[in-house]
Amino acid sequence: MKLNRFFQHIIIAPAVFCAVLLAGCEKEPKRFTEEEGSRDKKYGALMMLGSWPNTAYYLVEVPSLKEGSVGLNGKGVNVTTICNDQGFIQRDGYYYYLNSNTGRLGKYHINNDKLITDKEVPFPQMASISSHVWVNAETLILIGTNGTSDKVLYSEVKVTDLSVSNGELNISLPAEKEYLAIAPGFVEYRDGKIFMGYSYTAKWPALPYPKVLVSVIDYPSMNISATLEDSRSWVPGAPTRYTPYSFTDDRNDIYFTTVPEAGFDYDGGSAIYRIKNGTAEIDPNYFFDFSAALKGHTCQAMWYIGNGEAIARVRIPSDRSRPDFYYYWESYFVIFNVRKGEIVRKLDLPTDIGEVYVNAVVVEDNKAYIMLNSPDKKGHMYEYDPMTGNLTQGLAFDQGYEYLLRIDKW
Amino acid sequence: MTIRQFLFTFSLCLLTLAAAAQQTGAWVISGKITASTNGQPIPGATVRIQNTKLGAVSDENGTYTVRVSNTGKYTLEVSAVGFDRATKTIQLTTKNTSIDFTLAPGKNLDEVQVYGKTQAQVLKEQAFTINAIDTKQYANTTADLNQVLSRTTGVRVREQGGVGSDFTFSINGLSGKSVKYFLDGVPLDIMGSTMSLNNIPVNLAKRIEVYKGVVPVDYGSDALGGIVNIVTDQSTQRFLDASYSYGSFNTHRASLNAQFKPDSASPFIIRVSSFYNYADNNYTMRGVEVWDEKKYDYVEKDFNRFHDQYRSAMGQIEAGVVNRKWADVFFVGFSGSGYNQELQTGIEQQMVYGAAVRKGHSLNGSVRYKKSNLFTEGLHLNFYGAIAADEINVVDTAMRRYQWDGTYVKATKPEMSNEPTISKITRPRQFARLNISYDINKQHSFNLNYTFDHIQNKSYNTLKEDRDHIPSTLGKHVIGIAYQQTFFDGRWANTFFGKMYGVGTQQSQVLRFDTNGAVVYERLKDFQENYGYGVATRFKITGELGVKASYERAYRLQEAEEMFGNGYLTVPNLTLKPESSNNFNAGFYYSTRLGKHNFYTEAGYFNRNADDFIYYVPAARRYENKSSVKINGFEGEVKYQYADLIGGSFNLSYQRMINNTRFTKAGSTVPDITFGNKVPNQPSLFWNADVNIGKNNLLGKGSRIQLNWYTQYVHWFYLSWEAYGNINSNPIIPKQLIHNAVLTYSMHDGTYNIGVECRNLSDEIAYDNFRLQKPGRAFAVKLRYFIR
Repeated sequence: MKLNRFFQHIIIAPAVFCAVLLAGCEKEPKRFTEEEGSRDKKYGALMMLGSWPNTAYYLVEVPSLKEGSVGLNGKGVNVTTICNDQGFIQRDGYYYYLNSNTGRLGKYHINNDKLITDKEVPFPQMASISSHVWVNAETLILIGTNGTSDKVLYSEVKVTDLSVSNGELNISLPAEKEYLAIAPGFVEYRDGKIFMGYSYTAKWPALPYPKVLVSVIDYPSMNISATLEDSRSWVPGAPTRYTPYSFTDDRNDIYFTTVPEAGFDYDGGSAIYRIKNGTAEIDPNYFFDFSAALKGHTCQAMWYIGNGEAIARVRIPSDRSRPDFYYYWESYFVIFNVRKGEIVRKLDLPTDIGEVYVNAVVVEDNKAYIMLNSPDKKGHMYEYDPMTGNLTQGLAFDQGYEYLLRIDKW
Repeated sequence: MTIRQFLFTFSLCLLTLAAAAQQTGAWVISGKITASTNGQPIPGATVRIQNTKLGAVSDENGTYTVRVSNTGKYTLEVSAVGFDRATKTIQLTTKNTSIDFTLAPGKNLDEVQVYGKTQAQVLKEQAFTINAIDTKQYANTTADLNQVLSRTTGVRVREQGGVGSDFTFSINGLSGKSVKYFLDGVPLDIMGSTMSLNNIPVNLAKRIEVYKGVVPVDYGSDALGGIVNIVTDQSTQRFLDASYSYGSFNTHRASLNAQFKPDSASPFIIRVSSFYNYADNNYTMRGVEVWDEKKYDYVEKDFNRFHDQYRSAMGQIEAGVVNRKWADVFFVGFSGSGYNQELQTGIEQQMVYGAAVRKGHSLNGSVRYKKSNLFTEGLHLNFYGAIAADEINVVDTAMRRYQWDGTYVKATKPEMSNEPTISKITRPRQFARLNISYDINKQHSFNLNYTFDHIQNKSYNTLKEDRDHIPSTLGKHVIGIAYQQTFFDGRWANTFFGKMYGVGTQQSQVLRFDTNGAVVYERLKDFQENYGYGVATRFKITGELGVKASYERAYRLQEAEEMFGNGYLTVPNLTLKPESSNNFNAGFYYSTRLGKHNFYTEAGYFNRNADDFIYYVPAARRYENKSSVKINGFEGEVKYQYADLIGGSFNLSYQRMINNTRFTKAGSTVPDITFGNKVPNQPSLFWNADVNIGKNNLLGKGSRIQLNWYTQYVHWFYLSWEAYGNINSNPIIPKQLIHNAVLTYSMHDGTYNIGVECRNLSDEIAYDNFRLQKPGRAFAVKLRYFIR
């Protein structure tokens, strides 16, 4: 071989590699800087994309729930670096989230399709937030447990600057040794008192504590003044940062539901209880056996829509022979009359498949807007008019997501 | 294929072997080629039988083997660059004839390099797609095996930090449990969890081989993406290789490998391998956030890592005999190893730990036996058996939340888990591997491999329990049969192989509680068989140019916990399938030499079509077959060397991993929207360059001074899906361009060596993973004494 031919080889080969290299090199994008812009968007949708382990969460600005469409094609803020589930607490367009990995409590908002971090503070007070309640627009009470879930902890958060004062509620595990953890559920605030439902859970497949327990907590002292009990149902709610299990109606009565499967009781039924205005006891004259009225189906969340009516998400228990029965979720929505304790109607919507821990309802202008995960991954908002009972298809979610996880009014 | 059919085929093959063993075997001429000056073996010497096309090239120990079909008179001619040619004529009368050669140096020895093919190059010219790295070039550097391998084609090591840190090793895009590690052909982790590529010094290995996608049956393993095999010095000579290095971040590394013999003719050998690593890993984390109470905000500052000390040690002693009538090699070995590691961060740098510790120790006893031409010509047997005990402890009891300045606040949970934990994981293990190969003649051979691997996994929190009530057991049986054939005087070589994977898993789970509240356990058992197969072919168009292709249907078997859960937090999934993949490689190599110019290049295309990756799905509390990917890519390397003066190499790898998960849930009819999209958080383009310049005898006779410059580039990539969301909000893992330089000086023909090294010369902030900084600029000096 001639020497020059040899050198041809050794020059051409790297040249080819370099050409390929350059061709393959897309320029590293410059990252935006945080800038304020106008805030004309009214709602936010949290959507998840991809399947495990490549799941990503996006917050998308939504101008209207009645019309149009939103999707993730080029839009939507990737919030995967601040959250690892849909458990945001939202008010007035600000999202509050405890990242249990980093131990930071953050306040964020979306502006012009950008994530703005308003504040982050260290938050070692609790292992995770279970439940929350707003005392007023500035004061958020967070309730959670320690890592071993044998203490119930609270934080009073001033949301303007996320300043926090902490404490522990005087609740302990019962004497029976099989109960290992305290699980806070619904929380409501009314006239200087916080009502917090909780249960004791055992090691599955053992069942949870067979009573509804509700602490009546004086605010702001946070002392427990009474503990209400009822043994007709159990597990009064689950972590409320996903979805609500209670509401206060326009008579200032508190209603809450039980969700036994949140305590690993997959056969128990849901019941709805009431704590009447001006009292601090479970209304002995009210017990709505919700599951009995719906073939054993359970209540997974509920939202008050006015005029004594509420929307409930109802789970169809999955076939127990399915290996994934405990997280295969098919659900539908019903309207029920809260005072009479009656199902008014089942909403004529497609079966929601996929996820029940969804903050799915926004109530506005005496109408309810319902977010639905449909099996064809082309979800919609549906407008429900309680006056007429009419359902209208509203905002469309473009195909291009795995789950719709929250709709929040900003 | 059922197990019955498989066993039938297997028996048939054994019969074939037995029948073939009755045939007349080849006549074998073998021997050793050494230099007359110092008795050192000469690798790469060419042995030619005059007036025939027969010949061979000596291996790294200077030994050669030539097979002829008839008796008679033969003249052997031996040549090696830098030595005078030698010839010997023999009259072949016995089946095995040993002829040694001693070559005298040529006239221009000082300027001439030995250019024979190294074992690594011979391996690369096989049908399988292999990275084979002679570690000699790195022996005077402080590199561990990860650092050496990450400079090779198709391999990407994503490290979380400094010495001893956790890492993901990928071969052509497949990583995690898809890649298996071996030491001289036996699973590396038999020697304990200390034995990991992130801390084994380069001096332990003589060569490292990476089989990509298609793996020979000898390894008896369910390696979906490929294997890494560390090959130690198997020569039978005395040697001593001792080294010590000290570097930035208080890093100490010591290594001692030696082999003793009473005298050169003695069959008795004692072999010692050992290493010790220590590092504070207190490198600077730049621009990390700490809470400033006065400012009531997080502020960015630089801090040194403060809880990342790593210490590991390993010692192995083997004693045995070689070249006996009854055994070519018989060794009994014993090893012990341990490590102690402070944990500094979780999966990203905002998760700061200041108290959690992980440690482990293990003991291992082994026996090794090898015999060629057992009972009959061409029948070779190789056996390895081991028992091992491994224990890992993770201590996570501090109810604290640390930040980068080393301060902490009280927390209501420990740093990593939800409850205070001192976990204890023990893994008693029994392993055996039997390999039988039979050369029917020069063209055809069979290889049968059986591997038995039994491992029990006990894991519990010692603060709450006194034992694991539901230990899991895994028993793997892997049978592999390969048939090799060569045609056209060895130019065309094919290997066909089949593998049977049998995996037995056993685990208890909580069934119910009895009337006294005590737990009643139920034992779950399963046995599954899977069948893999493959083919590898190579054709040498000329002596310099060859093309090759290979294919394997590969599996990664389920583990006991993946199938049965842990009885509480993880529930069973009895429908879990093994991970499987169709792996295909095609490529070529070309090497040539002109005078003192040496040139080598290779390039290849690869395709992986992998299904049913097993992931723990937190929402489901169990392991599921969650995703499938398709990977297409290419890789290539060019090397040039001019004598021993100057040289360099460049390699580039490109891989495009596509999400091939059509449906995310069973029964779903709507394809996942990310189906067909590029999988996020995966590097796709990376290259390495190496330039060396050196001079012999510059500072005295027998000395060499050499400068090596290594550059590594990894192209930036997105953390999440590219096609969705506002692209500005998609976090990226930035590009890495890292330069390392090593200056080495050797005296007395490599006996005394000193190396000075600088890593990350330009002090880049380097990331392999999102928000996990790797070390900045670091210096090290290494002293090494080597004598053979």
